[in-house]
Amino acid sequence: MYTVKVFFESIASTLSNPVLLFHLSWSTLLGILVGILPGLTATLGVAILTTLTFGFPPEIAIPMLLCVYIGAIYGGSRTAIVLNIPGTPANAATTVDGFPLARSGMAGFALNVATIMSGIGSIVGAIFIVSLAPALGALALKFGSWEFAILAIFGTIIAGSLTAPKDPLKGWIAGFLGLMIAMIGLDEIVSFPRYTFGNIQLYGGISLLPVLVGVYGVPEILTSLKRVTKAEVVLDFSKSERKLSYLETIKKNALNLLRSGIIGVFIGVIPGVGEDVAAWVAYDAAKRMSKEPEKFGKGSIEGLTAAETANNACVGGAIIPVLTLAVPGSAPAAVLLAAMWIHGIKAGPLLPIQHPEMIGYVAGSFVIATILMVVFGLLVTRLFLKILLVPTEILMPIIFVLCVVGTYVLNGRLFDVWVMLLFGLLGYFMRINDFPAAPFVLGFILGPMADTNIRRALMLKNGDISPFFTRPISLVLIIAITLVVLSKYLPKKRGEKR
Amino acid sequence: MKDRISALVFIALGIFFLIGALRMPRTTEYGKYGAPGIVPAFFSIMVVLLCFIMLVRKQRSNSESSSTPAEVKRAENRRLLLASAMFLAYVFLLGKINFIVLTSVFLSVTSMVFLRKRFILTVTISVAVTVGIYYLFSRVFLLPLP
Amino acid sequence: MRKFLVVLIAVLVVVSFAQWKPAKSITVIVPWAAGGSTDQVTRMITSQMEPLLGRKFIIVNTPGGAGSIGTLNAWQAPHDGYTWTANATLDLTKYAVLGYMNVTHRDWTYFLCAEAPNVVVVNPNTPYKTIEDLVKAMRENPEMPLSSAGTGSGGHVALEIFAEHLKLKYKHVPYAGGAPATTAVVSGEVVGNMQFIHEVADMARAGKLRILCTLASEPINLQGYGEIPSIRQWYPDFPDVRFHFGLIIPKDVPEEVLKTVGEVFEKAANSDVFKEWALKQGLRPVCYYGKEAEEIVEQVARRVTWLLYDRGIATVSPEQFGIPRIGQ
Repeated sequence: MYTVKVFFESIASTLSNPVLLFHLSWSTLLGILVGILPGLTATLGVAILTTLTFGFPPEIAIPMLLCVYIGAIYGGSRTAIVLNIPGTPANAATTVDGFPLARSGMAGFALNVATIMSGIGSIVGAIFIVSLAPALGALALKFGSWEFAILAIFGTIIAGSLTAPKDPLKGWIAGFLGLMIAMIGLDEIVSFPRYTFGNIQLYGGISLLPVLVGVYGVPEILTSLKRVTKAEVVLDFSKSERKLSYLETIKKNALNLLRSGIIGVFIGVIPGVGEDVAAWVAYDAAKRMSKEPEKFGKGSIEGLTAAETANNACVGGAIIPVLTLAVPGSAPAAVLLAAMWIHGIKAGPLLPIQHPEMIGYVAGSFVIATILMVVFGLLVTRLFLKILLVPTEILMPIIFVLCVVGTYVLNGRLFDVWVMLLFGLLGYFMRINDFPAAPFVLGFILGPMADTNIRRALMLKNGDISPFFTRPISLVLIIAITLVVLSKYLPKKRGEKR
Repeated sequence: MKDRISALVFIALGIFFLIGALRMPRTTEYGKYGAPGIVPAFFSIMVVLLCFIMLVRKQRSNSESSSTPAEVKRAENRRLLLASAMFLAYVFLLGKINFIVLTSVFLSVTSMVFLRKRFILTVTISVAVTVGIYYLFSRVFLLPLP
Repeated sequence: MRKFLVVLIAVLVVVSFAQWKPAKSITVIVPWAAGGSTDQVTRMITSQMEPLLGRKFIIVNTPGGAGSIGTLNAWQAPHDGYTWTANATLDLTKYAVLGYMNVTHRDWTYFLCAEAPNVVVVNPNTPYKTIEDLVKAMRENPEMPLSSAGTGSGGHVALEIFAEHLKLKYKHVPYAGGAPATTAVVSGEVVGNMQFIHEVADMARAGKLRILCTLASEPINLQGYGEIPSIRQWYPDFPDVRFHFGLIIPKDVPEEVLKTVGEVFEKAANSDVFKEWALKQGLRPVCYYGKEAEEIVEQVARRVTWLLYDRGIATVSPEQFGIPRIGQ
C-alpha cells in the first residue's frame, strides 16, 4: 500500500516540477531519436545518457534514464514501420506487419496505432512494477547463492532458446560463449587474474559497455554500409486520414492488448531476456489466437499491436528484477542497474528496506515517461523521421564515431575502444553465421554472478551439491531449464514457428 | 558448411579457455572449491560440447545464402572490407591526431567513398557533426575526448 | 543567485591565502565501483572542496583488482597534483604485500575525513545475544560461516583480527561487496559478519540484523537504533580496530599543492554539510592530514600486512618493504 501511495505522489510531484519535466522531455525526445536511428539501440541510449547525468541528483537522473529507455524502445517502431528495418532489436517483430501497412498507404495510421499501443503496454508495465516488485522483493530475501547461480544459467539458456527458435543450439552456444568470455579479469573471490596474460588493463575484466556497443552497433553499421541495394523509405501518408477510429481499434484488440502486455512483463522479469523476445513471443501468441491469422505478415493491425504492446510492457518487467534482485531483466536494464549504483541507489533485496520509496517512485516516473512518449510520439515524430532520408552512407559513419566516443568517455581509455571494435567483429561473425547476439550479451552480463555464486555454494557446503535440488526455488528453476531444453527436441505438435 | 566453420572456430576458442582454466591454481585459502578455474572450465566444456553437437549433426539446408547473385556478393564484400579497414585506421589514429581534424577527415572520406556524390554537402555535414560532437561532450558535459 | 554568491565568497577567500591555484580540473580516481563507501565519501568531500578550490573535480571510477588498478593508474599519472586517488586506508596498505604494485603506503600522503567502525552483526533468528555467546559457539563449531565483502576487505580483516585475538577458527565466505555480504546474513546463508557500521545500519534499524558490539574502543550511539557496546566491555585488551576513508595524493607532488589542499581539506572536513552527512551514514567525521595521518596509516599497515602474510593470503613479506610488526 505504501508503494501505491508513493506511486501517485511521485506522479503528482513530477507534474508540478517544471525543471524536472524539462529534463524528462528532452530525455524522451533523445530516446525516440536514438530509437529511430538504426544501429543506435536503447542500451546505447541509456548508456550514453548515464555518462551525461553523472552530475545530476538521482531523483532527476533515474527518471531521465527511464525516459530514454522507454522512448528508444518506442522510437524503434517508427523505423520498423516506414523503413522495414527495426530501429532497435525490440522492434523486429513490428516490421512484419508495420511495413506492409505503410506500403499500403496507411503509414500514418500504423504509426499512431503503434504509439497508442506502446503507451498502453508501458502502463501495464508500470502497474506490474507497483504490484509485483514488493512481492518479489520479499521473495528475494530467500535467494541464496544456489538460487543466484541457477538463475544466471536459467536466464542464459532461456534467452538462447527464445532468440533462436529455429536453431536453439546456436542460441545456447552464444550464451555459453558469453559466460565464458565474462571470466576474463580478476576473479571476485580470490582475485586470481584469469586470462589476463599480464595485461593490467584486463585485470578489471572487459567492461560491459564496449561489449554492448560492439556487439549491437558495429555489425549493424557494417551490414548497412556493405548493402548495395537501397532500403526503401515509405513516408506515404496518403490514406492516413481513414475513417478507422483508434478507439474502435483498441476495443477490438482489448484481449490482445492484455495478453501481450502480460507476456511482455513476464518475459521482462526473466533475467536478461529482453524486449525483442517479448515482442516475438507476443506476436506468435496473437497469431495463434487470432481469427484472421492469414493477415499476419501482410499488414495485420493485431500483429502490430501485439509486438508494440509487448516490447514496451517488457521494459516494466525488466526493471522489476533490477529493483529487487539487482539482476538485470534486459540489456538496457543492465545499464540502468549500473547507473543506479553510480547514484548510490543500491538495488537488490535490501532496497525495499533501505529505500522503501524507490519502487513507487520508479513506477511513477515510468508513467510520466509514458505520457511524454505518447505526447511527443503523436506530435513530433513525423518530423524526426526526416532523418531517415539522410543517406546511410553519411549516417552510419557518424553513428560509428558516436559509438567510439561513447565507449571512450566512460573510462577515458582507448583500450575500451579496441575492445568495442574486437567485439564488433565477433558480433559480425556471429551474425553472418546466424548466431543470435542477445544470449551472448546476456551470458556476458550474468557470467560473474554465475561464477561467484557457484563457487560460494560449493564452499558453503564443502562441495555438496544437494542444496541445488532440495531448496524449493532452485529446484523449480532446474526443472524449468530441463523442460525448456527438452521441449526443443521433442516432436513438435505444431509446424515450424514464425 | 558455414555451421562447420563456426563450430570449429568456437571449439578452438573453448579449448583455449579450457587449457587456461586447467592451468589455474587448484587450491586457494578457501580450499579447493574456491579455485578460480572451476567455473571457466565448466563454461568452456559446455561451449566445446555444444559446438561438437553442431559439428556432427545433420546439415540443415541453407536457403538464404543462395538468393543473392555472386556479383552482388563480391561488391558487398569489397564494401565490407573497405569499411572495416577505414574503421580500424580511425581507431588506430585516435589520440595520435587532433580529434576534430581526424574525425572530420574520417567522416568526409568514408561518406564520399561510399556515396560517391554530393561531395560539398558531405564535407559540410562531416565537419559540422564533428564540431557538434566535440562541443557536446567536452564543453556541455565536461567529458574528456581522445 | 545564492549559489553564485557562495562561490564568489569562496573564490575570494581562496585567493587571499592559497599559493596553489589549480589551472584545470582535478581528477580523483576512485578504485571502486560507483556507489560504494569510498565513492560516496569521495564525492561528498570533494563537493565541499570544489567551491574552495574554484575548480571542478572529475571523479573517475576504475574498479577491479581489489582497488589496485585505479590506484596504479593514479600513481602512473604525472605527480603534478592534478590526479589524486581516494580509498580506505586499509585497502591501500595491502597492495604491496599482495604483489599488485611496488608502491607502498609510505609513498602517499593522506587526507582522512571519515572513520568507520566495524560492528559484529548476526541474523536475529540465531540464539546469540551477546558477543560472548557468539565466541562460545565459535569455539564449539570451528566451521561457522561468516561473510565479508571479499578477501582483505575491512570486514575480512576485522574477522581475522577477531579470530587471531580470541584464538578462534571460522569459515570465511566472501561476497562481491558489503551489500551482498549483508544480504547473506539477513537471508541466513551465513551466521553473521563484521562489516562497517554504515553498511549494516539500515538493516539493523529495520530489525533484520542484530548488532552484538562494535570493535572500536568506545561504545557508539547509532541514530535510530541505540547504544552499541564496545567489545572491550567483554575483552578489555582487544586491539583498537579503526579504519578511515579519505583522499590520497602521491607524496612527491609539489609542496605548495599539499599545503593548499591541506588548508582547503580542513575547511571541507569541518563543514556542517559534510559532518551531518557522515553522521547520518553512521560514519564518524574526522580530519587528519600530514604527519598525523601518515602515522595512523603506518599503524594500520603494520597490523594488516603481517596479518595477511601470516595467514598465507599475502605473497610478499612485509619485511621486503621494511614494514615491522606491531610492537617491534
